Amino acid sequence: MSPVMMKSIGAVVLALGVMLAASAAVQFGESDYQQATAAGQQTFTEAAVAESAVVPAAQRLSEWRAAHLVMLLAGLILIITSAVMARLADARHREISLTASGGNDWGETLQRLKGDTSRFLLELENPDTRLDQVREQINHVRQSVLEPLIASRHELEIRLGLAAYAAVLGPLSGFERAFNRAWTALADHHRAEATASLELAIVQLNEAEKALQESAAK
Amino acid sequence: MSDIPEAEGPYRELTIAAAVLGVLIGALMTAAFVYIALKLGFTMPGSTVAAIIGFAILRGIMRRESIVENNLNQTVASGVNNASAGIAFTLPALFILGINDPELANFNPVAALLAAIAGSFLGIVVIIPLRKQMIEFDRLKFPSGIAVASLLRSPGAGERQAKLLAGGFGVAAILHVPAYFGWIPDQLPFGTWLGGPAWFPVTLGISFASIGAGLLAGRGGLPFVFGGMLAWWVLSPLAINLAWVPDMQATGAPSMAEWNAWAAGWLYSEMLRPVGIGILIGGALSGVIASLPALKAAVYSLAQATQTEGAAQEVSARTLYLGVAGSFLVLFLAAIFAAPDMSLPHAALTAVVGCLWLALAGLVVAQAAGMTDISPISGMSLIGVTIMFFLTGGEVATSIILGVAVSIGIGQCADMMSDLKSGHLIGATPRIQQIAQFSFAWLGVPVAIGVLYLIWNGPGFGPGNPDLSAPQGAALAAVMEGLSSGDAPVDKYVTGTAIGLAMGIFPLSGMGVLVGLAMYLPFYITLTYGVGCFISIALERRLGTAFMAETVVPVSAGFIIGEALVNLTLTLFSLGAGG
Repeated sequence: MSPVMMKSIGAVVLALGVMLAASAAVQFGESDYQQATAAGQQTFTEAAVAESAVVPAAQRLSEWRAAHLVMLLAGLILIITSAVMARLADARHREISLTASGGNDWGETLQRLKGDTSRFLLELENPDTRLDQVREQINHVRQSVLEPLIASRHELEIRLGLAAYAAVLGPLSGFERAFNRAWTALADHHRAEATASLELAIVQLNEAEKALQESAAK
Repeated sequence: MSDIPEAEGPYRELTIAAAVLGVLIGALMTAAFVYIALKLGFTMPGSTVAAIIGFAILRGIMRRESIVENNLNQTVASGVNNASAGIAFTLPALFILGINDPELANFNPVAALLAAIAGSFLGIVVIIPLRKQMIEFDRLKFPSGIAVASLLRSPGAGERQAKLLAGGFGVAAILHVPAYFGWIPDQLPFGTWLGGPAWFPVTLGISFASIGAGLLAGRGGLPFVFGGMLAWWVLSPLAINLAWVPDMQATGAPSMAEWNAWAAGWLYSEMLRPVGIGILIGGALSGVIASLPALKAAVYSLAQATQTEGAAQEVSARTLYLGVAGSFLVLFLAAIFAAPDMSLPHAALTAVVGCLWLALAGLVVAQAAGMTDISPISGMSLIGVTIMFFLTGGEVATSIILGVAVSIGIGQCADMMSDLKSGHLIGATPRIQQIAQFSFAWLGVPVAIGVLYLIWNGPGFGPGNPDLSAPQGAALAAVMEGLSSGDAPVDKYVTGTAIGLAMGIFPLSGMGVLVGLAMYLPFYITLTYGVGCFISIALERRLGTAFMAETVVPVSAGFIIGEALVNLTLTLFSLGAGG
């Protein structure tokens, strides 16, 4: 069975499980049902209706358990089954993606980002460079390279696992923030801050690259 | 070279001007919003309002050209203002209950002040380690955070983006004015118009802010929409047709229409909402468990704060530990002041559980705000007060006073995280934002409590005053009366939590929180938000991601800011005119 098919079936099982479990959860036990009936009667009938006694928490739980626990457990089992199916599908997808080419090459894209950032730094060293031009270029790189890379982050998670994903994405996000700060400083016509931010961005990018290489080597 | 002169000197970030102005704006908003909350039962999103006022003063009047300075001003102002909802939703209950119980009326105001300040600090320190998880790893949207960032960036974003932001603002504003004054309906109940029953609602709200939040969330918001559909289009008809709700005959309803309306209300308040709260809690718990490896990396990164240049952008772990310890001590003192008869170990246990609940509820609220822009603060505060009630052995005053800490703390969690999202998008330094919020946010507490006492000793508030009925406080007072008599839907909370925990195993981040939130909220909010999600998905598929970034984001930000600002202006105008 393909991962997509397995995940689709998992989604259907999940929907059924949540429906079943929630159906059990929302229902009343015997005393609560009587209390609801009394509340309805008080709303609609002019004659005063004696309020039913308050149901203690332990009684609520035991009455609910006697009537609806099996239904809840069946729902929970379906939810857990769906989760297992989805995780198996992710694992299968990971196997396929490790053997197949395509997708976003993270190493190559990080190199490209480093090249672009270094180029912006060089441009800012030249006092004749227009700041708004560099700002537009940063915006272009952000939209055409950085955002698609981050949008494909789940590929990385599937390939490397959660801990390695966090190790790479942490510094990459630091790069993103420094890159954003460079854009902001340029919008405020502050060349020195933009330069410092791009320098910090490269430091962060190096950390991300190192983490990626270490994770890939494992 | 550019014709515009380049700026010299250090780049302004946390400056005296930003801090002072932020505190002033925050204090003004706090006073106004406490009054609004007592009158209407809700407050306004503070971040967008603070950003606009700060933008006008710092950039427009003071000619200070630093986007990050403006972001810090907005961070301080919204942090200070956060006390307004926390105080106005909880503390009035004690005043209201005190009318019939003089012992409660003589509660210790110092205890309330200490608890609120402790909550304010604690909310900030417990959520800071999750910044990496929520903003960098999970990439939660925080639609208001994006809207604020769009606004702050507008001076450099170009004419087209500024026009789109203004256009979105205009559309939301123009549509919100007639809806606010009731000239057009604020909801479109298509189901009722087609003759459908109240328990099968097909209703859209006239709210471009909700649509804007959905547009920004896109595909990520779908579990929220499906959760609402499950609640109202599956569970509700099942409950009616399988007689899980007492039928028309049993209740003695005079007509089917009246029974339908009653059944819909009962279904929502007694079945769906409590289960939704349980699922929210379970979803958040399982989210913490599932994210443990990434959380471990985040805490490791904080511990390395002084070792690498990149990680130095975070507040150090040591500072956070000290913050948690200090806040706990203040909360412990508040518990002692509030209940002098309580033994020291008992007070310590109460403070520990209060801190733990605040951390968990803060996580729930921050996740919900991150995914949908909606913060279930009142629901989480309510559970906090319930927990405190049982822990203190039925001490009403102590429960509410510690509930104030929880309410303010979880509000700080959502606000801090939304501000950090704005900061990430414009490149602000997280550490400086965190220090700013930590240093100034607590100042809103004395302002909010002062305004509350002022109004109580002046016109008064509560169910006896139709002009200032304090709806949230009155609701909490009613719950406390219910708890005192032993009435709480424990079964719904427990089973909901089990479902939320199970859903957390499914590899889709935050699903339990979204589904729980959808069951907790009225369906018209969920459905309106869903329209935004579906439009967003269709636009992205047809026009691509670049179109989303360049066009949809500024328009959506304009929707959110436009509705928030017009709503605040009209509300203040109405209150000023004696409305």
